[in-house]
Amino acid sequence: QTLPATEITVVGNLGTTTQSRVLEAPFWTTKVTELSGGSVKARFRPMNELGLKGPEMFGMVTDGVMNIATGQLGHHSGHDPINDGSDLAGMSSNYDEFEAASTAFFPILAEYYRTKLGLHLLALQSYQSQVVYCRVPVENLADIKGKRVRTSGASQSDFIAYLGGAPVNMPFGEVQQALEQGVIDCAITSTVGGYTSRWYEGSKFVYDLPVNFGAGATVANAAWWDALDPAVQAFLTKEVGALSAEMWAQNRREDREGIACNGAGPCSIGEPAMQTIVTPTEADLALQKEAFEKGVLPGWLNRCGEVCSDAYEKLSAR
Amino acid sequence: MIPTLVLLLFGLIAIGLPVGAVLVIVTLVLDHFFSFFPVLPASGEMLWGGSTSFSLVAVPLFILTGELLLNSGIAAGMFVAIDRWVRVVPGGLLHTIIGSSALFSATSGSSVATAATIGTVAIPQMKAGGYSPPLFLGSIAAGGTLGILIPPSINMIIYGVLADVSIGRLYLAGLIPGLLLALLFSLLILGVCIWYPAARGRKEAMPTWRERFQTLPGLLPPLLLFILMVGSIYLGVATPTEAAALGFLAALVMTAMRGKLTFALLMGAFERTMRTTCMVMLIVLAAQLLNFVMVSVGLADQIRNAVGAIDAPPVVILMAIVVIYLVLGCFMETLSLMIATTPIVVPIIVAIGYDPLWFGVIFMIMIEMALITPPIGMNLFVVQSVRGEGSFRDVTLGAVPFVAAMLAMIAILTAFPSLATWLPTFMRG
Amino acid sequence: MEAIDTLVHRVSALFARLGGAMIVLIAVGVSVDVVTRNLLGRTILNSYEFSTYLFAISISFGMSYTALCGAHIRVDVLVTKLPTPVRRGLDFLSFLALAALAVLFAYLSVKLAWASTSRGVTSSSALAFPQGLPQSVWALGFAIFALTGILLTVRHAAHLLRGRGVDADNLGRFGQDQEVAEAVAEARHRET
Ligand code: NA
Ligand code: NA
Repeated sequence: QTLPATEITVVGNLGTTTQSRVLEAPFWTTKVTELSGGSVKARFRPMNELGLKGPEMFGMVTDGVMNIATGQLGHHSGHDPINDGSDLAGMSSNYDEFEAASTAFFPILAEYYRTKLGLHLLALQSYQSQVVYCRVPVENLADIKGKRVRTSGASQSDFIAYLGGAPVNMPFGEVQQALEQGVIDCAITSTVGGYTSRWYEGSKFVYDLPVNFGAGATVANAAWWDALDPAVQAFLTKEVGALSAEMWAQNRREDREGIACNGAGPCSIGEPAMQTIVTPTEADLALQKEAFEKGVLPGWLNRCGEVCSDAYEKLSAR
Repeated sequence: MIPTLVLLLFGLIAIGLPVGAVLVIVTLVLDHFFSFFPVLPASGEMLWGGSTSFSLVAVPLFILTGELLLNSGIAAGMFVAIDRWVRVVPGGLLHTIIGSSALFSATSGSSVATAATIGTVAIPQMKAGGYSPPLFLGSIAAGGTLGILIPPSINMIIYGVLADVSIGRLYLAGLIPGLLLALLFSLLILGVCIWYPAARGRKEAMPTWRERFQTLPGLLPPLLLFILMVGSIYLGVATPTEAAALGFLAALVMTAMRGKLTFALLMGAFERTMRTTCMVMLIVLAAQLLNFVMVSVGLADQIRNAVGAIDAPPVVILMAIVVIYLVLGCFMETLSLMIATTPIVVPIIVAIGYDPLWFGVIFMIMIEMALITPPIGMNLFVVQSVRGEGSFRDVTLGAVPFVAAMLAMIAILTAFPSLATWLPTFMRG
Repeated sequence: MEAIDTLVHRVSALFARLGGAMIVLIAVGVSVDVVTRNLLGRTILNSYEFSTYLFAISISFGMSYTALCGAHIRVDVLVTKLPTPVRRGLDFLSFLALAALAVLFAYLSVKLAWASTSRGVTSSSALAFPQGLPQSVWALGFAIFALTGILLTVRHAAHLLRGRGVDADNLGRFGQDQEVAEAVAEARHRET
């Protein structure tokens, strides 16, 4: 049966990533119309082209600036620290653990969004693992001690601080040069992002243990969502879910490609950067767990209070 | 939609409304008639986001530094030292103006501040030296423009932020072209003085070697500041914004050591600095709102596609861009020009195969032209207001030849891009 | 009326000076962090985050003074060539547009500060600094900017209505002649 004609305004995640160029942008600009037989049309812009920085996004959906947005959960942790809940630094050591945490976290976050923010949570996504790039030799996690590390977000800072490193704040655009000149020793970003931003011109070592995953979420304005025809709701829930599943798969794949590009290759997007890729040991995984439990988690609960301790209890119970 | 935008934008600017207000009016009109995302609910957050940019903190720091260097007599000491050494060349003081502008530029991020400082120090000597006002004043206006090409540079910071190009790299890219452009200015002056001796000024007694060496310490403070403000970045000590803070504190200490740091001086400097910074920031904030609407209505895409559809060699498109900026630069204030056009022109430049880092240098030179082309040229205004007498035509007339030197510099950089890109590549860690 | 003018000028100049002082504070904080980062390997003042707040506040604090100085950029080459009554009419529009802009910015910033305060929004850094605090001070600057814009517009209209065109022309010129005079005096001083 045909769906009722629906026009949607959508703001997407960072437009410079392959996730946006290959999946998100084509989905909203053409695919959603095709799949709905021409009934659903979306108007789509990536957030950075609009001059948005990130933390304002979901508030804008609440205010009705756009109907749907996909943004990074970490960007919104200042507004609502609960957003960090599934993607705290040191929480997951690999994609499987992270995916399990996201699945468990979905209903908790959805309820919070619905009751507190007037948002309807459509999907949670992964991005790529956020790894540490260093200009100086780092052989294991304990070597972070005494290093100046550019972090983004509170939980990354807590993680680095617990390990005895100095978290440094810096605009993303200055990081590459700062690494190159030695203003900082290390910096954290995604595996592909660090490669495409040419961090390897300054960095020599990539420590291949995910600090976290740059988790994302797609949300809709709840009032707008509730007024939609149930058939459209079902259609969007299904297709956005499928889109997110594709993102998960793509990010898992690209994550390893990014590591290969940063190291000895093979690399389909340029020359291999020939950095030393450092693989974590058992001892590193133990230290990661310790840093999470003794540094990151208390920091988060402290910033967030009861909302998060309840959420974390529910999350751990699953 | 494009005609509406252009008509509204230039119409409202032409009838003298404040540029910041015009940008917001255009924003609201486009939003009301064409836009899909309503801009107003998002505006508060965007204003806050634009106000809290760490990179832009360098703007007031540079202006304050310039204020201190002028009022502490450091600028004057530098001027005298350079004068003792270059007086031999025909045109004497005119070369001093270019040389001291270049050196002062190495401590100042602003062209207007450079022209005001060098103008304040030099203009009193124009009559005494018997120089023809147009060339003398034109040299100050043009020399001052080096302020944004030779690092540090406010405009490079803004370009770096808008075009997502490393500011440190831009600084390195501007250094050689900046020195070359200063050399071109000097050659131009030399040529004019040879063909037209009346511009040359009275022949003055040559300074003795003793006199020359005595003034050399005057070059120390600016050199020290250059090392702090630019060197610290490449020594791995500081980021560009942090370097601006270090430079300012050093200038503050130098001023205090000379016994010139008074409460009145500081307060005056504060007021003037805030005036310039807020003038800049009102436009930056307003432009951010306009950008949101321009993207959401798809205007930026439309312009990009229109240029992309032109079937011409890249160099022709580049020439067209230079001509457009030359014309726009006559009428528009440079900062508004830069902020309004960077998001549109940089994707075009990248699409036709040029390096955005290299284009940053070309862009700076185009902005320099805009600063000295009438009727709206900030450096012309500054020089005239420091002079405080005589016809504005003198300044305008004297500045025109330097536009030719700038166009020549753009041609040279297009033929030999490595003049800009070699140093950033060479300095790679 | 005179008393109000003086008060507004004084308050605006004071806020501009406070704004300047904040820039010095930023320079000190950032420099301390640069030194400790290079010597001790850690930063102690969180200057990166606090600088951005101080910068935002200093900007909004300086807006009113900038308006009184007539320094917010407008292109008046064409305007000055028009017949005086037309020019004065356009001058009035210019004041009105600036006032409207200032009121809009004040409204937006107050609204944001209020929302952040009531929702307890913090920065997403480890500092988790309450955003409502700096935003409220920031909004105060824009509020003064708005009052100044309105005052200038009303004064301009009043002068025009009473036929005091020259007085109207002199509005929003605070500090301008003074600065040129200073520069020239200083130049003369060097000559000797
Ligand atoms: Na400079
Ligand atoms: Na011009």
